[in-house]
Amino acid sequence: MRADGEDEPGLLARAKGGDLPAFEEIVRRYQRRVYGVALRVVRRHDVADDVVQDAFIRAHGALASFDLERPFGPWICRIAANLAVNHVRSPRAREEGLPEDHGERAAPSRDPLDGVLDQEAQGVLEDALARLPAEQRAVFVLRAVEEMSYKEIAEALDLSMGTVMSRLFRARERLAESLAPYLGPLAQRAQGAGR
Amino acid sequence: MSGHVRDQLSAYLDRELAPAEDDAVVSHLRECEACRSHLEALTSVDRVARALPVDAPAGYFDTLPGRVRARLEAASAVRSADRDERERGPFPARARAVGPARSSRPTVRRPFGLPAWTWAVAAAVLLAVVTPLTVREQRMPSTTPPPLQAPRLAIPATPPMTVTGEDAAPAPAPVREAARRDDSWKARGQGIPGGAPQDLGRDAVGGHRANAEPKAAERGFSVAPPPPPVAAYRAEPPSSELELGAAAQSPAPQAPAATAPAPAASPAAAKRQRAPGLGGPYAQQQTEGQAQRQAPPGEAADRVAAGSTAEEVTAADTREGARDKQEAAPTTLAKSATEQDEQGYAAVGGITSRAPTADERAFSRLAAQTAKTVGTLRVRREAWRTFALDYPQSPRADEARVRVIEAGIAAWRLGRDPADLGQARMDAASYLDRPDAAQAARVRALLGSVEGS
Repeated sequence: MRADGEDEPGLLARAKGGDLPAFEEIVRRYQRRVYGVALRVVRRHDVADDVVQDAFIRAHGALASFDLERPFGPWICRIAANLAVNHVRSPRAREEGLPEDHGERAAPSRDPLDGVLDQEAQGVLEDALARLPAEQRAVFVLRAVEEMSYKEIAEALDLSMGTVMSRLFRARERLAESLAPYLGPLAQRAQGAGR
Repeated sequence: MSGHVRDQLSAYLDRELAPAEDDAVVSHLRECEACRSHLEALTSVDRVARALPVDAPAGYFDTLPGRVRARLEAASAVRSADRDERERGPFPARARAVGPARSSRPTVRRPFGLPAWTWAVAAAVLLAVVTPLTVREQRMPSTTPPPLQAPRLAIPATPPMTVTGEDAAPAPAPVREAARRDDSWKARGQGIPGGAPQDLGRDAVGGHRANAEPKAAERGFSVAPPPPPVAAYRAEPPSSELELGAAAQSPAPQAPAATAPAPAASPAAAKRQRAPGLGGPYAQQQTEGQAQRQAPPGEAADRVAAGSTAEEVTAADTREGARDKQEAAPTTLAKSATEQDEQGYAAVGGITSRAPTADERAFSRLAAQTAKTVGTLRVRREAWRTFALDYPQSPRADEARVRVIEAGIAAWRLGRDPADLGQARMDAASYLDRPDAAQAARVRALLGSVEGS
């Protein structure tokens, strides 16, 4: 049965019943998003790959208890974020030291027409994100990128709402400080674009 | 409004403030340029973060769904095989054979319905139960027959074999109790780190001797080299546990090691393993047992790998639960020679009486499989990866990680799919980054073989 055009609840229902091709399609639809969450937290592709695979494997194992009424995206991202944070906290990750790209600029913006300013700002933000503590980084990614609510983040990372709030506050403060030289022009561009 | 609201702006941005607080911040922002600027800064941070590229290697997202599916398929296959094996039991022909039922199960090719080795195992059990009584009686002919003692070997929870004449002893209850204790010792022994069973098997007796010495010494044993048949039980005293414990300070412990039930590859081998250092009617087996100890490493390793002992057969029903329970139980000082023997024996790995662990079973199954197509090689690759993830602390995890790379390269060589080569390179890089990479040279050689591709 073709899965690529099927709606998500149908795919999930089939995957729940053991249909692997259906689950493979689910993976195909969410892999970039999950990879983004993982990579932003662990900062290494090989580790992010492990996290992504493990997240989907775990999700598959937990499908039996998954409520089909819920959106799958936030759920799988929570799993990935949790795994990513656990990895960063692990003794092995500490032994391995900082990610390979620590201190290096990020890859250039996809769209060269975005302007040098944005590229530099992105590079600076990448560096600043890498220097954040993993717990703050995870909270920030889930909020700023995945746009999860505080409650969802608290559940995903097994934190209190107050902790989520304070970690997010500290993460944004540090990132804003690193972006300070660029914030004026960035803010003007944002206003001009009808933020 | 007094004071700035900078510390609330993050929550305000996310609309997570209570209504009253939200209203207060809105009011303040109307009047405070500094807070408004800071709010814009926080907004820009989020916007830039959302725009950050998430770069993955070329082709990564093309192969990821397939790799996840392959892992799921591999894990399902492993679970099914494991479940089938558990249902069958390690000894299919004897899994439910207890006592007289052993001979009642017909098979096509085996006499009396059982593989030949099972008879050897049964004979070994008989020797293990009867021999101590015989030797003890020989040592102290003037004493009354002692009660049945727990044999040094792990024995199944079966009644003792019938003994005759002076060897006859009362009280099946002590034997059963000892048997249960032996079962638990077996269970403890299974978790003893001692390398692969092959390692233990290679030195079926010698290695045990080497390992037993320090452990026995801790408990006051002195471990002797293989004693002459009668001397092995020289220290076995009669009567009470205290006397047993005291007497066990002398060269008895070799008996446990020497009687280490290496899995029998043949009935004769099993019999030999069961009857070392004994006098009386078992001298023949003793001699063979001594010769057995000199067996070449490979043969011993094969016996270990076979993993079949009488104890396991008849204790198969309780082994799993006993092992889990006993592995969690703390090891306490032995209070009797029997317990000391058991613990010393367990300390050297329980040798051949232990059943293969889950990771050993899984590894053996994977290693036995063949893959000749690109698809099956990919499945194999993910199966090895799953193994390494499921058993990260296993002694075989490192080998599994290398086999992930090997399977990936093999898949690429067959199908010349760049994604397979890319994945293999990534796996190799990940492996070489590991601090516990024991086979870095081998992996570098694998990478070298595809260099320039």
